[in-house]
Amino acid sequence: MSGQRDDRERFVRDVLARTSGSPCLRCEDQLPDLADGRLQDLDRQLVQAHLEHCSGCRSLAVAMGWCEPVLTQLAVVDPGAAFTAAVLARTTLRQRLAAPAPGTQPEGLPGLMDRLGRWWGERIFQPGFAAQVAYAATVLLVLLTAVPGAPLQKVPGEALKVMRAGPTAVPAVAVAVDWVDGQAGETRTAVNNRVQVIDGGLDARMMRSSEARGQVAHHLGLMWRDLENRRTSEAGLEGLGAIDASRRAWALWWHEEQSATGE
Amino acid sequence: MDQTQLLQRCQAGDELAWEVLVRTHQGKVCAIAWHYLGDQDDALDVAQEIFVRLYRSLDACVDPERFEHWLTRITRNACIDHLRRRKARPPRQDIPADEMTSLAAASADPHQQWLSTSRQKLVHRALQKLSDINREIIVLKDIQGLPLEDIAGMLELPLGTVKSRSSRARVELARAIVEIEGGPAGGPLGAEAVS
Repeated sequence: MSGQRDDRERFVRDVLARTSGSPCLRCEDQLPDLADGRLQDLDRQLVQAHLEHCSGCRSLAVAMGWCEPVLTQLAVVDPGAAFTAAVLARTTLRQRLAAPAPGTQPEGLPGLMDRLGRWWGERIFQPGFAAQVAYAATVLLVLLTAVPGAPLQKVPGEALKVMRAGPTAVPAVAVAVDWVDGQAGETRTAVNNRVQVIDGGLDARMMRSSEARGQVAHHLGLMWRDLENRRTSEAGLEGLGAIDASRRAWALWWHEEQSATGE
Repeated sequence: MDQTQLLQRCQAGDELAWEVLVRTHQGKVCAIAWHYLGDQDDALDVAQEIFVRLYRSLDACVDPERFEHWLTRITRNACIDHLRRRKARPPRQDIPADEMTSLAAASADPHQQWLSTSRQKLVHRALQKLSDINREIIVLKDIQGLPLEDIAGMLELPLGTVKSRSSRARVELARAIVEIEGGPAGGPLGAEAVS
């Protein structure tokens, strides 16, 4: 059966080749109208008759049929929240107002720096920009250090030596390290001296005022006892005594400073 | 939300209105840029640039009824400019489109999965095989649904030429799909398509 069919197909192809030529081009022209349902009855029947026997055109018709609805699905994509955030970050009202009106932009170097700053501010939010900058920086670094005859060709080797030998291997670095060490030592000594002075002063004040502070505690203890025994007038007297002792303790604590300031 | 009011609010400097406008149109702008450029990163870069440009020239849109058409035109022009610049420098990578979509699908961000079905992937790949003019017509007419008159004005071609081009572009797209699938016998989608 299949053999007979193949023979028939070959016969039709041969006849067409010797007469009108291949009908496939004519069919292809009609396929969009067939898919849209715009073909008249006779044309539709003719195209369908061709499709029954031509697998190439049939594949096209099938693909055209299913891809139409798929195309409409591609009308919108979801770029994600990061995209929206990036757009909004680049288009705030502040930025819009900050952009200078035409003709008001400063000229010369300030204008150039202004434009450069705005250009950088805009580009830095773009996803691919950081990668491009990194790439350019790498190329620049290679050109400056790795290419034969590059101006900074010896820098990586020297840097490696310094890393291996430690910072004192370079005279300038050694001097800087010594200076930093010296400054740190002086600072440390000054701080220690100041702490000792403060510490000694505290001890002296504690000793000077210890008796008065003891009297404050004594009066407060008596006042508490009188209050417990509901002797309010005695408690009041003890309170006044505590206040008086506190005043003396305060004066003794600040005695030296008061003298120094002329009091 | 009324497009005219929204645009007027944006022109008055209302940042909330601008956010709504961005969210409303970002999917379409990204899709157009993606179909023109064929690369997600490039599409996102160009789409971002389009919105920045749009923000600065909002006052220039005097006919809110035609805003979408205006935006489509801006998007198309930005993509054409980008394609011209791209032709002037070597391509960044030689990864085939299907591998790129699989890389995107494997990424952590689920929003980056712009192609959800195998048929969408196939059509997107086939689109990249079309000639520039045919791809443009498919993107503008069959994907974005623009009237032929608008497309003719945008491409500066006679209406009759756009009509005939449109039919030819659909056939070319179908042929590209068949070629990717593996010829008339049909590839993995052949049986699915016939059924």
